[in-house]
Amino acid sequence: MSFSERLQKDFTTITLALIPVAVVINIVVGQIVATLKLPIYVDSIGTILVGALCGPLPGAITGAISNILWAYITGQIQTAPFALTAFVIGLCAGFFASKGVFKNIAWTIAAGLATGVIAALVSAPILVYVNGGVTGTGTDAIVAYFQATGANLIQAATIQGFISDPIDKTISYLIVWLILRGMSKRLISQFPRSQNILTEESQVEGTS
Amino acid sequence: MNQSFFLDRASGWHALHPLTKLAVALAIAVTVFCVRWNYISVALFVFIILPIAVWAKIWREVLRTTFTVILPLAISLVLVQGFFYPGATDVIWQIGPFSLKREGLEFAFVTATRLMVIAGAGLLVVYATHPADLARALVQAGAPYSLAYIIVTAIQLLPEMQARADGILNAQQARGLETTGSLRVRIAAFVPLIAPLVYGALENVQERALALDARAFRAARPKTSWRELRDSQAQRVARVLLIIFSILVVLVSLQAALWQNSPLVLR
Repeated sequence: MSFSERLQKDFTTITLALIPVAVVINIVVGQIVATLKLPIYVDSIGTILVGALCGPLPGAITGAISNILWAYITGQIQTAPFALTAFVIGLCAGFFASKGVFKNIAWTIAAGLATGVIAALVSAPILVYVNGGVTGTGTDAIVAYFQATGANLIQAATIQGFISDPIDKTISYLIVWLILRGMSKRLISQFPRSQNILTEESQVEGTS
Repeated sequence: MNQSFFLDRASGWHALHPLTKLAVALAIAVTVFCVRWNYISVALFVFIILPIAVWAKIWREVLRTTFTVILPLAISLVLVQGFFYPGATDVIWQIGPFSLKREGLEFAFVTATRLMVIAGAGLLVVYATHPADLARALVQAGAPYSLAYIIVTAIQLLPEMQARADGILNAQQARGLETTGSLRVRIAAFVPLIAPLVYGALENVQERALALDARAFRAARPKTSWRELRDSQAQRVARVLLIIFSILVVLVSLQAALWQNSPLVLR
């Protein structure tokens, strides 16, 4: 199947209907996490969900739009460049889901860790060139520690990412795994990449 | 929280086409990243962003938001880079084992003021442009219509979902769910809060898809829009000039960087 054919298959009407809902899930869950003062972000659940149900590019678009909209509605304009990270997280989720990771909890955790490492690698240069290596939060202590012990800016930012991102993305993947478990097979089967989640026999069950 | 920062005020800046405002912000952002002069950010903020903000009657809001957004970053920058900037040697203040160094402070100043300009330039657009107008302008410029649908729908859904999240929080607390206290308690509170929210939101996705199909949303024909955007020949020319200017600034700074044979580090 060619790229443009795959794209058309992924961008069905239900994908289009899901994306804005997923964008809002990203933002509101991010706010709940902030309200509970949890030491994680978990601001990409919607992105991963779209990646799993609709494919890499819809997931990537969900991530990028969530990030830019977040900058727009909170006035945190300087966070907009991290839309690139969110885009890549969506791509990763779509890719890993197409390999069937969401059918198995161990693979879900592995894919979460891998996505976290990739996200850290994408974020680090943005963090250094735009933010001067800091986020204005508690994780800056990690950056200070590694710079004090001889790391340069990009190394310190990357290590900081390696410490915080894999945990965050693994938790996010697990939450999405839970959400997918709780969705009805009939609803899942509406989405273009439902075979990512449903096993053979449940697919028959779902369509009957 | 506000669903949008947009302030509907009567000003010449507000009346400009969204893409014109976006082009101005882009030119400012590109300049601040490309010009290697320590005070370029301060100059841009004082001589470009502030006058536009005064013209648009939003200078109070722009200043307040810029500072509240950038202040935590600025404090972190001074603490982290002022004390631990790699390779810095020029000590200006010694406190116990830590020393504040000039190179680190300089880096913190350049980065913090640059972030201030990025925030200020973005806020000029955000405060003076309704997001739906920006989406409309992007579609007119050739972006897919779906993009406008996604942005506008998300903006409408957001306050609804926030209200629902508040409702769920109150309901679960009324049932005895603890949302404060130790980390373990707060983690345990997380799932009962987000599960109803997410499933509730997913419930009507199918209905939305049916509604879109019933209205032939995906038909490949031009669509009429309720929002009208005013544009002018002068603005079209201005946008082209601003984009040419931005490209030139990038090219000249690349040349300068190669000329000095320096890697593309900022500063």
